[in-house]
Amino acid sequence: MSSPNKEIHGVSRRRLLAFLSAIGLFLAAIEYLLPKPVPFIRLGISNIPLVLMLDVLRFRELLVLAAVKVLGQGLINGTLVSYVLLFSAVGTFTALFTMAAVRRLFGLRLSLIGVSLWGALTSNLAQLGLSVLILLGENAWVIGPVILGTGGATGFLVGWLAQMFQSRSVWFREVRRALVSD
Amino acid sequence: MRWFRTDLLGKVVAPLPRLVAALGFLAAQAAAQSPGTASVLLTISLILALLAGKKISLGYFLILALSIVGFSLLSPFGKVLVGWGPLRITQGALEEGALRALRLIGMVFTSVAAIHRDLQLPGRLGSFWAEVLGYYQRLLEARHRIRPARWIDSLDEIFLEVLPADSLEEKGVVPKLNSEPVQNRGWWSVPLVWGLAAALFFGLGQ
Repeated sequence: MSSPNKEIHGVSRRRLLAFLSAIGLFLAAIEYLLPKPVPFIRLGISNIPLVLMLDVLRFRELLVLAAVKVLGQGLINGTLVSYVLLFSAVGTFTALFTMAAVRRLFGLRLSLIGVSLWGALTSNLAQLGLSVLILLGENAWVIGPVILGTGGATGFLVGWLAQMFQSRSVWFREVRRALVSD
Repeated sequence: MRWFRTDLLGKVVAPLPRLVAALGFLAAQAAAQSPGTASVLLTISLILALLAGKKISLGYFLILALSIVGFSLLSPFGKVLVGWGPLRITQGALEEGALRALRLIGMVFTSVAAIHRDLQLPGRLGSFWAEVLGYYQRLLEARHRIRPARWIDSLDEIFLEVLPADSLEEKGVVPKLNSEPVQNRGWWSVPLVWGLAAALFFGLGQ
C-alpha cells in the first residue's frame, strides 16, 4: 500500500488531485459561459475528469475529486449556500457511484461512453427525484422523458470527449503510467 | 458601466463576515410564507448580488420562475381565477408556485452575493483549495491557447506545462496556506443584515 501523498515523477498524488480538480472547475467555468436556454439542462463537461480518471485513481480519491468539484463550483459560481449545491452534489455523487459500480461490474467491456451514459442517466434521475421533493412537486415527472433524453445526449458527449482524450493525450498516458506503476 | 462588474461589497466586507451575514438572510428567505415577503427579500438579494459585481442572467431566472409556477399550476387547488376548458388557473396553486419560485431564486441571489472566491476554508481543506485555485488560475491564463480544431493537442501542451511542475509554490503561482492574514473587516454587517432580515420577516408578516 503506497502512501497517499507519494511522489510520482516529482508530483504528489495530492498535487495531481488538485490539478484534476482545477481542470473540473475550468470546464465548469467554460460551461457557465455557454448559453443555457433551459434551466434544467446542463452539458456536464465538468464531469470529464471524473470519467477519465475512473480507472486510474483510487475510489476515495475520486470521492475527493467529486467533492471538490461540487464545492468549487459552488464557490466560483456563488451557489455554495443555495439549493443548486444540493442538486449538484446529488447529481455528481450518484453519477460517481453508478459509474464506479458499472465499471466494476462490466470492466473494460463497457467503453467510457457507456460508463458516462450510465452516470448521466442515473444522475438526472436522482436530480429529477430531488426536484419532485423541493422544486417542482409531483408534476416534475412530466419532464422526465425530456430530462433523460438530454441527459443521454450529454452523457454520450462527455463519454466521447473523455474517450477521445484518453486515447490521444500524451499527458494522460504519462499520468496513468505513473499511477499504475505506483 | 465598469462599477456594474466591480465587487463593491468586497470593499467593505471581507469574505467570512459576508457569508455569516448572508446566513441570517437565507434563513428568513427559507422561512418566508407569503409571496409578498419573499419578493421583498428577493429584491434585496438581487441588489446585493449586483453590488457584489455578479452577472445575473435575468432571462434564465425568469424561465426558471415560470417553470416552477407552471408546474405548480398543474395541481390546481383553491379559488379558480381563470379557466379555459379543462385548464384552470387556481389561486392556491399560483400562490404556492410563486412563493416557491421567489424563495428559491432569492436564495440563489443571496448565495451569489455572499460567496467570494477568496473565502478561506479551514484546515487541510483550505490548503488543498488554495492549491486547486492556483492551478485553476494557470489554466484560465492559458485558455486562449486552446484551439477547437486541435483541442486535445493544445490541452495536452498546457497540461504537460502546468503539471508536472517542479515547484509551483516557489514560483508563487500556488498560494500558500495562511500566507496572508485572514481579513476581518465588515463584521458590523452581520447584526445589520440579520436585524434587517428579522425586521422584514416579522414586519411583513412572514
